[in-house]
Amino acid sequence: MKTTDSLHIRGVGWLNASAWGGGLCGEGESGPASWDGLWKRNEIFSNPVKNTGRFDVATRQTLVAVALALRDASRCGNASRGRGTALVGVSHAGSTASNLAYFNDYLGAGRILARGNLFIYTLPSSPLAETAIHFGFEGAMVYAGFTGNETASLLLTARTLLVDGAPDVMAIRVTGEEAIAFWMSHTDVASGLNLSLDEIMARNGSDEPAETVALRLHQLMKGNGNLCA
Amino acid sequence: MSPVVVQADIVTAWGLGTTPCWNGLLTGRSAFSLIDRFNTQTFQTHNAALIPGLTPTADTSLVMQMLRPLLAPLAGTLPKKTLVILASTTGEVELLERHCLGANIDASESHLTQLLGRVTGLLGVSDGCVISAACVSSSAAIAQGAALLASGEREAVLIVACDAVTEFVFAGFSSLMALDPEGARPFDRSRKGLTVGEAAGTILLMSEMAAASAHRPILGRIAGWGLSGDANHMTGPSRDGSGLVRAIEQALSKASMAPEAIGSISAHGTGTLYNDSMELKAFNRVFANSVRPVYSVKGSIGHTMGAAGLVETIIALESLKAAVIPPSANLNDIDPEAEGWVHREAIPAPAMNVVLSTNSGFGGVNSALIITP
Repeated sequence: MKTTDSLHIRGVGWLNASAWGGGLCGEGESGPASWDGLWKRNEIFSNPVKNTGRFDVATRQTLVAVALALRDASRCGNASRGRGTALVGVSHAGSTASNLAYFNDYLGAGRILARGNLFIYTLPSSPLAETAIHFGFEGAMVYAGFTGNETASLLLTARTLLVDGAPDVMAIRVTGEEAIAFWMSHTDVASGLNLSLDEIMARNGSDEPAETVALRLHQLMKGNGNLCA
Repeated sequence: MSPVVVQADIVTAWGLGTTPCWNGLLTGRSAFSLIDRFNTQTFQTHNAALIPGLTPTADTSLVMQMLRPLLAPLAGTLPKKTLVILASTTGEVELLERHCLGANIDASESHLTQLLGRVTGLLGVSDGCVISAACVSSSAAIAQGAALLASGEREAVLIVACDAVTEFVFAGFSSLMALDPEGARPFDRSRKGLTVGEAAGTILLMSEMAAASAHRPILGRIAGWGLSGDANHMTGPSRDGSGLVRAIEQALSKASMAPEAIGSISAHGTGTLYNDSMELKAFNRVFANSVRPVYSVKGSIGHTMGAAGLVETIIALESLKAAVIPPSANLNDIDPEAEGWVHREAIPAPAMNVVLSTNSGFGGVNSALIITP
């Protein structure tokens, strides 16, 4: 088994209500244009995303954050990957919003017939499944839930998957208001950042905003003398 | 060294404990019963594999009713710094049902992390997390626990798995036309779908060294594990079984075993047309058409969703201990594709010492565990 003392970040994508961007290269946009409109931009999604109309918010945010992380890595010259990418996602509320939508719809229909296309989003892992299908990730896929700092626990879980043999891992945290995706791999890839958990995040016990984490990573990238396209 | 299993217990439709479930499986009969928790009049079927005596109440969820008798004996007995991994698909989703029906319950009470808090509270443990990966949830949790032990990051991991038969879940599966009105018939030519079941269970995994120093009895080993994704479809498996093949190959590689070492296969075997066919294609590829005994427990105890992988791991351990391969219930007319692989009767297997256990789930997730004495 490979051992990984530090975390190797290849790309980071993030979004919130008013802005979105890449973590390492520092690319981003803010203003009235919603991240939800990024579907139609082929520089973000080189392949059209299918069935977006039926996606819940968590699925949309997960897909966009992952696309931005891959784009971030691409701008840093480190986009190549196989198909064995593993996915781990965390969101405190899990699939509660989709569960409510599905069950209230069922009740509203007289408790006679549920809608299958709502039911399939009632698993906490459903956003990851849509993401795996779109990007062709064929590695492990798990939703994780934690009671403490979600970002720290997420990154440690991703590290366990890497140590266990995954070639690379996409780790995503979604809150409904924002999302951040870290594309991580072993340290033997060409570019990116080797960081300890402490360097990635302020260990103050609570989760920081995605944009704050992304900005810190960009500063570290610049400090290392790494230039992105 | 492989992570070892030092404690295991389950509650299924055959009742509390591994022995009643094992004995029930050996009868080749189903433990399905009529659902009286909610109205099933408009659904595809009216039966499920229900735990006897489990009744919805206002103050305790179904899964907590299942878990309490399993967790109570463990409280105060777990090794220091045990990590608890809770594996479930919907957990206490009936709390969300009640919220929607107007009860004074916040929907957030149904979060899996809330259930995790209740579980760790009962156990007196502070360190826990949730793993959810559709019907692979508990086998993914076992794989994650095994990885943490193998890397030396942990010395003890308790996997707690549970899922209940609720209106929420039952109505959903019915809407997908995924239920067999006659009851699940895995690997049968006339199979039409699954039977929803409920179960809970616990497995305490330890490093062999930690188990030895704590004088814990070794019930078996998780010799290998693998997880993969089809990246293909939200509800259906890849038709050629290639995703499951990759999971099995990973597990064999971790166990440093060749396919020839596998003595029997505990298949996911849901009874849906596509799942069972996909699994047989995968087994044919991995084992180069060299037939070996395959069984599914789901014709007997139903599809216990997130708990399935853990329940099936415990049954595999029991199979190794008894040197008997259990039958697949409701197997009347064996599908030609499954001919030679599956069997209606229990098979004595005195030389068997390796079981492969596979699971697959929505979103194309696959798992493979290799279990040894």
